Amino acid sequence: MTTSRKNDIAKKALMVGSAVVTLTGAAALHNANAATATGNATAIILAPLSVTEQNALHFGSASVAAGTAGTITIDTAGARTAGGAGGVTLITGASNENQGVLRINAPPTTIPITVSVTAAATVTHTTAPVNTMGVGTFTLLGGGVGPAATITFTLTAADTQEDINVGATLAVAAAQVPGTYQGTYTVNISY
Amino acid sequence: MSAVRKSLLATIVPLTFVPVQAAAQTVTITISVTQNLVFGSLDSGATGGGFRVRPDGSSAPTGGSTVTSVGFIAPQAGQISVFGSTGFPIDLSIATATINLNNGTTNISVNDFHLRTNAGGVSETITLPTDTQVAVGATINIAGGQAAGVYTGTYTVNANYQ
Repeated sequence: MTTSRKNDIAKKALMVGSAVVTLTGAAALHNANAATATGNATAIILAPLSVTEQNALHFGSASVAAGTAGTITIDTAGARTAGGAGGVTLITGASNENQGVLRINAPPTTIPITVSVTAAATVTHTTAPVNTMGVGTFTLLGGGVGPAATITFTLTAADTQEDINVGATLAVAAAQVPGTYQGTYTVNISY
Repeated sequence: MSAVRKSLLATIVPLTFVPVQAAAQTVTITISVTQNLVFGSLDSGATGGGFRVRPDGSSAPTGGSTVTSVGFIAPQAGQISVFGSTGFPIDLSIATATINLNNGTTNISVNDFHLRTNAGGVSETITLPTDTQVAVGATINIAGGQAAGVYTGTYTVNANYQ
């Protein structure tokens, strides 16, 4: 019995001793210990936005009183109203007024697109004598947003084209020189 | 006999505790991605070129590049979280120097990876707990007229005790 216990203790000592031999290789365990992670990288490449004019903004025909100025406002649906000081009389029938229509081509993206016309424009008499009229208060309607001077809308991923209707107000001076007036306006389009 | 037993026990005690302490310091390395590397929404411009996102999160087109960030989706550096034994140097490395992002049909290459700092390389040695978060930057190379779309890809980071 006593002899047997002595052997047990000796065995335990040996077992612990052998455990020490294994575990002192802690540095070796480190070397076998590796890990890997996979990271995602993403980029969204945007094609340049483009805009083309489908319909010119046309205020149609009107007359103006000799002593009273006025305005012609055309809304984004193409409807005209005379306003301002009241000197303008709209001429209907022969008039081919319509709102402007701009077509925006965008890449397939759900990134919001902002369209604005912020700068006033000028139309100029196409023949002598030189004369001008001012165009301002542009309104935009498109992408389910507007009418407003600046609209921001989001196309669905499958939709790469959107038509924007443009309205504005033309300021006509009293006794404005009769004739045809033409000009351009600038559209800002960005993401 | 009693004396024999005592002397054996006296030997056992220190042998038992020394290896336990050593084992407690051996912690398996775990690395996980906590933030994607994002180049953001980019306009390739006239001729394309490189666009770099640095580990500190700043970004810029590389020399001669016409690529611009349009800002809707801002660029951000990748972030990797490292968990392991404190005080033991760990080697981190990008497994492949050049990877591709793909939109389903075409590729864009990404290379020039930097780990940890803007001056860091594709391999860096870190020591915990100083570097529990390691940033990843890289450069995307966009062709002129690159097809629009969402491009995604993966990169691999290896970690190992030195």
